[in-house]
Amino acid sequence: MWHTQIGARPFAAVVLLSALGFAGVASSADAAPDFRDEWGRAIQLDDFRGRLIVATMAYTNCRRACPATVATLKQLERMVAASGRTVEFVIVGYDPQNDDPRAWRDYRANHGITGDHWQFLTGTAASTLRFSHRFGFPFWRVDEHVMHMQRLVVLDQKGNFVGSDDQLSLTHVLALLQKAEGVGLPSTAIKEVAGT
Amino acid sequence: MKRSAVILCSALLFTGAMGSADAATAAAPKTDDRVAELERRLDASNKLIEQLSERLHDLEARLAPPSATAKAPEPPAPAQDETTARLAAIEREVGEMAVAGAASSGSSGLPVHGFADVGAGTRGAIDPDHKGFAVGSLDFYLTPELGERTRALFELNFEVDENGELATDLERAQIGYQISNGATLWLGRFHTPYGYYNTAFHHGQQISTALRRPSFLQFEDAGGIMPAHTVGLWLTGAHRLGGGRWTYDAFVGNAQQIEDGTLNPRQSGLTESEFTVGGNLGYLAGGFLDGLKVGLSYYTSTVGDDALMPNRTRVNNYGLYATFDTDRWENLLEFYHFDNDDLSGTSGSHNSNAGFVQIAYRLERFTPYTRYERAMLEQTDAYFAAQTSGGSYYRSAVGVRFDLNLASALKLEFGRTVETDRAREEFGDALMQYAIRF
Repeated sequence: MWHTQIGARPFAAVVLLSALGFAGVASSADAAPDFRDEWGRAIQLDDFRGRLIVATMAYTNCRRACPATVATLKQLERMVAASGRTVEFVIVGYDPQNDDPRAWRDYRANHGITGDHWQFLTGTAASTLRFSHRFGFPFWRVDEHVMHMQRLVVLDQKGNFVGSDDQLSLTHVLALLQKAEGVGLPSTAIKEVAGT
Repeated sequence: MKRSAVILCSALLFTGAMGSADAATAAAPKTDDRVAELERRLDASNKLIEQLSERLHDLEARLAPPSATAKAPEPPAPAQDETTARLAAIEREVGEMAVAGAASSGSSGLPVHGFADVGAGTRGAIDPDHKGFAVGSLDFYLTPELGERTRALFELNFEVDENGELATDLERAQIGYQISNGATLWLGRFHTPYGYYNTAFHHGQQISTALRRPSFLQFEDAGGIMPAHTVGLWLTGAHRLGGGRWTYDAFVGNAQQIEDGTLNPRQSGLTESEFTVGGNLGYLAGGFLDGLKVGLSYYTSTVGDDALMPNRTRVNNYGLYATFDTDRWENLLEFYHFDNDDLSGTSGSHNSNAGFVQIAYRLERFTPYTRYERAMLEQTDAYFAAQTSGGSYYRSAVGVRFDLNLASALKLEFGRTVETDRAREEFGDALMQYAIRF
């Protein structure tokens, strides 16, 4: 005997409303841009041409690995700024289903990131996978968690891959930026980082 | 015969050579041009070989082990001509392919991941009658990629039971369809979405901060008193509302049965039509309250047992939870109230409660934590009386987790447990665990 008790009818309604209400979202998602920035604006990776890029992937609910990656990028930002040059820090979300532009705006505020050269991108499922495959960010989901690595990728002004770092090594990333030509970091900057 | 052959061959060779010399002499001007052209091509080929060699050397240096790549690589030579530009493009592509290939090495199209743990203790983490070193579990986590909207999750767990024998469980086997960004429908065996802990943490110990689950929230075969797994249909999703996000779950599945003192999810189906129905509604705050989640859950089920005089109990479970999970804090609070009715008509209604609070603080690689848990379960309630682990207790514990790297963690926990009705036993334990993911 099926006991139709307190919760059964409301839950059936939730199922029906969810299936009907969200069906429209599914059809419109097909026309979604590859990426949106934290303000919801459509954006392509090509839009960053002409700028040096340090890119990584993260998700806002990550409490162990991503905060360390972001802290390293903030340190790198200070080092690069000291040389009078600018680098674009591009963070692509692992979890576009949960990390929408609003979530990234909150993330920026909660992590004290005020610089203009940070871009938090929300992709589609497909564009997120393409980015991760192209630049070597393997990941897998476990319930609410995303299992991933810590990787920083350097792209030159033409969007070409220059190199990557998996150890959050500022020395290595600075060297990759030098290789990309144009940063012109003073040698003292690298020595300073190497000494820390 | 042999001499004749040698003479004949020599004559042919001599004649051929002389003939060639004559022809070469006759075509001298044309041959000079051709030789000059060939020399030019040879020079160009030599240059190309030298450039390729340099590029190859550069690529080999890049693909060398980390100790070698840690050195600052040489900047690329400036583009000089079309060939150099093409070589540079090839180098970039190879570099991208190498980094992507290295990252996905081992992938064979079916992503296989998993978790494992081993440990030691003065008492077993699950079975307090055992002590010493122990194998925990090997948990294979399979998530085949089936396109943009089809989802699948299989979790195959190998663990050692209290008799030291290997036990295998298909802990999760669920196939789903993502209706939209805010709704996914699953069919199969899944973690019952009550409270927070049961869906946030699973069999892989590397994910959870604490060394073990709260006792009353253990999996069925480890002494849990609630249906950690359900076989059925599950709709789940989230929807942004203002600065926060609503999360919801609704599910229906086979009612559990208590067999040999343990809840059985009856994954092969039912012999009668009795189901578990439930749901969970949560709110994940945003803005400056980022990391805060509060929610309510409810499920109802009709659970029978295998006693000589079988009992049937209508279980009504109300859950309340609040979590605060930030870069620094991981604080969890869950409370459950049981309002059970004896459908066999002998003992009436029963009220029981269980809950825990856990506070953890992340200090770089160290995460110290403390937990207090308590279950006050009516022993006249057939639902608890029939379960081996259905006794009341309270436990306090302190521990620390140390992350060796992103994929492995060491945990140490000291606990004190007091059983308050059945055995009235009090004992302490010290446990160590080494947990990895792969």
